[in-house]
Amino acid sequence: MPDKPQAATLRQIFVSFTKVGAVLFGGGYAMLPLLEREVVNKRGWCRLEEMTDYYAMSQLVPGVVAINTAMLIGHHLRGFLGTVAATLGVVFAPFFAILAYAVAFDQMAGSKLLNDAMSGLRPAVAGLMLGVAYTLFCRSRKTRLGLVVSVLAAALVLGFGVSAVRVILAGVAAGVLWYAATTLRKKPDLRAPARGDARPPAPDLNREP
Amino acid sequence: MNIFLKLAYVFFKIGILTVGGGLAMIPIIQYEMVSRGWLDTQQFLDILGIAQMTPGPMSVNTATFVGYRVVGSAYPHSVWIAVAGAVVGTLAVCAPSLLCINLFGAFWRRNRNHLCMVRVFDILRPLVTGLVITAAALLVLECLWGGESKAVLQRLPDLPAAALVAGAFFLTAFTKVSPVYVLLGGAGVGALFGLL
Repeated sequence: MPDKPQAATLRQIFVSFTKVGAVLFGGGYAMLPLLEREVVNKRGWCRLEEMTDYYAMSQLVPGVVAINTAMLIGHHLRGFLGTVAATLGVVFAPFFAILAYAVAFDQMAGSKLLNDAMSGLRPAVAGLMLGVAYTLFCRSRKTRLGLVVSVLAAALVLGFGVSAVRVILAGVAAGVLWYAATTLRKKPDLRAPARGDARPPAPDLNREP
Repeated sequence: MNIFLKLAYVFFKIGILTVGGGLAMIPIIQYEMVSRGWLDTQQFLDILGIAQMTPGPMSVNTATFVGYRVVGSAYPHSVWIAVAGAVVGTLAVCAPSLLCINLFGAFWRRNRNHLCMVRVFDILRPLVTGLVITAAALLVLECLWGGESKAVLQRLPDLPAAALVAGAFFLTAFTKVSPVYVLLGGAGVGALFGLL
């Protein structure tokens, strides 16, 4: 029973994710409590642990985190059409909000009040980004690898003008090489625990009635 | 190339290169937009701020806005063609997720804890930190010294802007104030000083 989601129509999926998208401020992390309320508590489409799993997974799939999370839940409910309904739902309200801003922007381009507000907004955005960078750096520098990689990435882009795209691709390549190097050296013991996580741990098996 | 195709290509690329959150994308979006002349750095800062204050993921918001502007300036006579540009940009940035999850969703779920995947993300997480540091440094440079890196050693920064940067940094790094209020505060201070 727990694996079988309650019947969800495409329309319900769209409506639910429209609600989530309309109040989704401040990026991916802000999405979790909203999803918990709408998808878990109200609709009962999946359990909380399933939802946090999807959230974690959406960080590993290429693409925007909020969109990925919505799509994974949509996929879980209704397959391909579910992903489409969930995505359209999430982007629905933001799309019109930005469109309104874009249209108003052209009309009010000369407005002094808007220009003054924007001249205060820009440094606030820069300071905000600096704060986020600081918080992330405090987390990354805890390990030597994290410290080296983050400083190296910043130095490559800032100092040598390497494009961020190349830096990301090089990072993926480095991860694959690292994996290849460690597994080639000690084959037997590394592969088992890596794959084993999908299976339930041993003590749980014994508790089966 | 047709402007719609170009728009779709650029935002598809941005979407597929995003791993682990929109912040990592900021330097990529900035590079793609500025080098193509679609936005200048000032406009990019504006759209970042607006994206944080309106609902929705930052990258999707940027795609909507840029789609509207770029197509709108190519076809100035019709708002509806510009709206179509916004639709194309928005869908293009979502398309990589649609492909990846429908084609590889099951594979991804099965191999989430595979050591190879773990290693790649062990590298990517700090790498993203480095990219965010870069983006922040470039934005601060733009705000305080007009984007000229040589000027940093030669003259003092724009002081009111420096105070705002410092305030926003402090609130974000050391308190739990929501970014929405930080940005609204910045815009409010700007409007207030304009009135005085």
